[in-house]
Amino acid sequence: MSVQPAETDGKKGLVEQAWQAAVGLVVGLKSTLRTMFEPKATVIYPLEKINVSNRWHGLLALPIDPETDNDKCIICFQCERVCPDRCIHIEATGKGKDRVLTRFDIEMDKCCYCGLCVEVCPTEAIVFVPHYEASTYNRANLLYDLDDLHRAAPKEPIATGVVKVRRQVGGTR
Amino acid sequence: MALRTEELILNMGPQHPSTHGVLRLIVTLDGENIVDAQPDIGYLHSSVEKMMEARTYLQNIALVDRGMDYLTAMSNEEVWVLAVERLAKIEVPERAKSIRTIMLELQRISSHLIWWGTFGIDLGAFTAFLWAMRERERIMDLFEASTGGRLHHVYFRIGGVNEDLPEGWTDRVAEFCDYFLARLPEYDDLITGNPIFQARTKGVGVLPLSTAIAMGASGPVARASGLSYDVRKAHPYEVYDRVSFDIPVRTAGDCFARYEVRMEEMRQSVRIIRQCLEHLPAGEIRSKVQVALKVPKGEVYARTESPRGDLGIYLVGDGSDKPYRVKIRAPAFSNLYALTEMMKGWKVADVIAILGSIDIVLSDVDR
Repeated sequence: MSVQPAETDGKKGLVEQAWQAAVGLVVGLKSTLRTMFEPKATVIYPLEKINVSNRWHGLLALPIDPETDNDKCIICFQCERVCPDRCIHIEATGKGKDRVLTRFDIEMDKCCYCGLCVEVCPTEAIVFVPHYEASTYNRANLLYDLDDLHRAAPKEPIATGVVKVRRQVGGTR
Repeated sequence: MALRTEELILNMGPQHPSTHGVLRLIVTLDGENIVDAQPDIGYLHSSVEKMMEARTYLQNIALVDRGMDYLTAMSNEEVWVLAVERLAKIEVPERAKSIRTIMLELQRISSHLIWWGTFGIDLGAFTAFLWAMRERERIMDLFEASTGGRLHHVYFRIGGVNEDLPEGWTDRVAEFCDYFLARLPEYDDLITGNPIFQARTKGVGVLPLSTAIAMGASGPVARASGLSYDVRKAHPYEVYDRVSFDIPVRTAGDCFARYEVRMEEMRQSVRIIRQCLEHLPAGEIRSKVQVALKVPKGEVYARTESPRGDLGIYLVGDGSDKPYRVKIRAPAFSNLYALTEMMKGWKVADVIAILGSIDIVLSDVDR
């Protein structure tokens, strides 16, 4: 059992303690007062927004390549394999040059934004979008299919663009 | 007629705001005095060790990031990649080593800042938290620019780091170092020199050196009790054997000593970062390692100094691309062990001060 500190004896100790506390309070308040006149560190969030860095791990997208008017996915399944949360689902049909994507789903609610899919992609088909407002009222909205991922691509300017998610069914909020 | 008294068992948590997460403390009280305090853990248990067995070595970087101590994601990544690199005998380029060291020390500062702020809140000083978050925000911005993540980075890779530092990043870090060192004296004005703060921490919750060692305490908790042990010095990794820094040690073993050790550690971290920036070598940042890395059969124990103490991973590989078994030695867990010894004999008002001073993260305790 540890030993309690000796009680300060008598009235004098108390007065001295109170004086010390008052001095400490003033010194502390001086620091806080100085900070009051410094520029504000906070941002009023929905009205002001901070730009994220271009390496930001935000939402995922399959940007459209203007040359081919399609995404750059070569259906190699590497992203599907490397995903730790197994949230990417890819299906394709056809052989050789006719091989086309029929399904490219990302369950964004499962995604942990680790960026391994972006890293392994040999053609830079899947990329991060510097966007961070993905909350919806319906969990089904967080299943991004091929159309959503195409639209989420940074073809639209990020500053004005809200990443469009799947349309709400029956106006549910 | 003698007054009949009996002991009272008080449950603090798991929803208590000052238990730093979901810790339940079963405190046995005799009046206001603490007879016994037993931490009840497991509310945040996520079975990370088991989950790691089902993921490849690369995927596990994303898991240790958030499954363990969420305030020091890169320290977790470090110990994991270190274990894998040692088992698979992978060389790491010099530049990657320096980058890692810078990141780890920035992470240490950011973690200590959170502790400083919440410790202030625990003891009734709200300004401290706002200030700490303001400085931490700058570190988060630095992380965001280089790794893309603010809390969970997934930046370290087996055999290096993911991406090279962006242009101008080192200048921003140097700028932050100057800014931060200028801020630290203000912290001392606000909290360290405050007599109310000192009255609540000095001599409170003393952990004797022998008990600290017996309980397996590590990191700032053990160093405040007089144990001069730091994994960065004892078992150097990355470039810690090439930078000069001091290990702050106090012998008092009380809450104030633990506070002083962490404050000094932040200064030392700035010192390490500056040296790394000065001698940042050019060249490769990542050696060639295949995505589905197969690690040879064998076992290895890697240890690092996380902001909370001695963080270790014991890794058993079975020749496949997934680990056979992983055991995490979490510093916060061992430090929490010592809590009972610190608490005995103190008043109920000191519970929060003592708990705050050991700086636990429940995600690290429960894993």
